[in-house]
Amino acid sequence: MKQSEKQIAFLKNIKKEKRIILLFQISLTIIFFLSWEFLSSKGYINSFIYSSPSKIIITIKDLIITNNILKHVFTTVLECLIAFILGTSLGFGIAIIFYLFPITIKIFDPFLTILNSLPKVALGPIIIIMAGANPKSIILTALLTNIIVNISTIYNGFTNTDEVKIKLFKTFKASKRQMLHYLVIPSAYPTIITSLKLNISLTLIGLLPPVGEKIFFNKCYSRY
Amino acid sequence: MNKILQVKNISKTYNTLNGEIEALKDISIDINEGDFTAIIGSSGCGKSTLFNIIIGLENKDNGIIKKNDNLKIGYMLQEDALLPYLTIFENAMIGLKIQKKDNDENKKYVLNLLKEYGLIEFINKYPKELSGGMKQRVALIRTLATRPDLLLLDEPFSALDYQSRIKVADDVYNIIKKEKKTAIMITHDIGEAISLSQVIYVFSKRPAVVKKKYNIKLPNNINSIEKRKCPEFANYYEKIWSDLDETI
Ligand SMILES: Nc1ncnc2c1ncn2[C@@H]1O[C@H](COP(=O)(O)OP(=O)(O)OP(=O)(O)O)[C@@H](O)[C@H]1O
Ligand SMILES: [Mg+2]
Repeated sequence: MKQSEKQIAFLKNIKKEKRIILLFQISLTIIFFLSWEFLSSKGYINSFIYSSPSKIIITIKDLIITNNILKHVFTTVLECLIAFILGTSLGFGIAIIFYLFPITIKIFDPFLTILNSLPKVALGPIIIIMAGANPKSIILTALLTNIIVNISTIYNGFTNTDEVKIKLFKTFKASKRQMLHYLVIPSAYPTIITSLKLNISLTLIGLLPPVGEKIFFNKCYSRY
Repeated sequence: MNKILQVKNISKTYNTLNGEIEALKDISIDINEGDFTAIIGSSGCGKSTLFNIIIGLENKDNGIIKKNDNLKIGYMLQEDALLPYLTIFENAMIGLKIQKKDNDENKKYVLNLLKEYGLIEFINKYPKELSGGMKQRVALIRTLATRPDLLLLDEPFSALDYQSRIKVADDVYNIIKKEKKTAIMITHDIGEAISLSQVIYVFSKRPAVVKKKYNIKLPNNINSIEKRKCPEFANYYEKIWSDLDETI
């Protein structure tokens, strides 16, 4: 009986902590917007440059009514989603190939490093010339910005699999497919999740190039 | 007695960028069915290499391994190597799953083993909730699940502290005896080797050759802790100690 009371207290504590965390997150957000509003309305910061939450809300309302911004947002989200899914699945697939055929990573390693250090956003104009002035080139730019990082984080996750566990699987005569399915991929799960989070922001960066969206298209959010 | 495995004049040299490493020189051992055999040798002398060759993870350069074609060999590693994202039951089943033998009969067999060895309450828990000794037992059951005829144990207790080590070693020994398995165990612990085995091979330092072979004769109706108190135990201990001393 006593033990279970302790257990209840233990679980309560965990819940309490979760509530505190959430409370802090919400209040921090509110404080941020409130002080932004306050500073700009009192003229402490230049509202022309830094804007203010109320002005943003008014603009958004305006845009929804006059410019149909939801359509543009939808387009951007869709582009982002496509680039994200493509980047993740391609990165995953290529990482698997690198893992299954180690010689391929040895061959491609220097090229990947070069590609990764290129400022991908600056490639925008070239991509538009190659793919044309359409969403394809936006997606391509976004894909380029995320795929290399994707490949290398996922691949690193794969290669960090515990040697002893690999040996264990070998003693059971596991095939390469089984090894991936039951061991390598699940072990790399935390790394893959991290990579996905990173991937979202990288995809957005790729969507933002002014050369990509602003000049050529009417449907986008960076236009505003 | 029926010989379940014969290793004859095995040699093995590793090729590395820094040159060749001669691991095994001319190793011959015989394993009798039902025996618990220990291999003792200094660190890096080539003991794990021998196991890897027996189970087929490494190629040998010379020599022969004589065994029945359908002899099933199970390997228990130095670490428990339980997968943290699987439950205890799933962990115990992983070998069967890989070999596509995770049928109902085998599931029952594994559940029985888990029950028999005090793990039934933990089958839906994850490895991090178990003690070191319990994890080691799960690892043994995972190996037993595929019903091997011969077990290779590579320093199975080295990750445990001294107290639980003796206890877990005794547990594992009893499980192996009860399931009527033949086992070869690599160990650094002379006492462990004497108290558990019927035969001990002492390997020389690298490249390994068999330096001595002992047939251990201790009463077999007492547990390994009591065996340590027999006068013969100290005798064997001293002999093997000096064998190893010379090889270092
Ligand atoms: N895959 C490998 N490639 C190259 N050298 C190896 C390889 N595996 C083992 N060796 C070398 O062979 C020798 C014997 O190694 P092994 O692992 O068989 O020793 P061991 O007797 O099991 O040692 P320990 O008691 O420390 O586990 C060592 O010198 C080791 O460095
Ligand atoms: Mg070893």
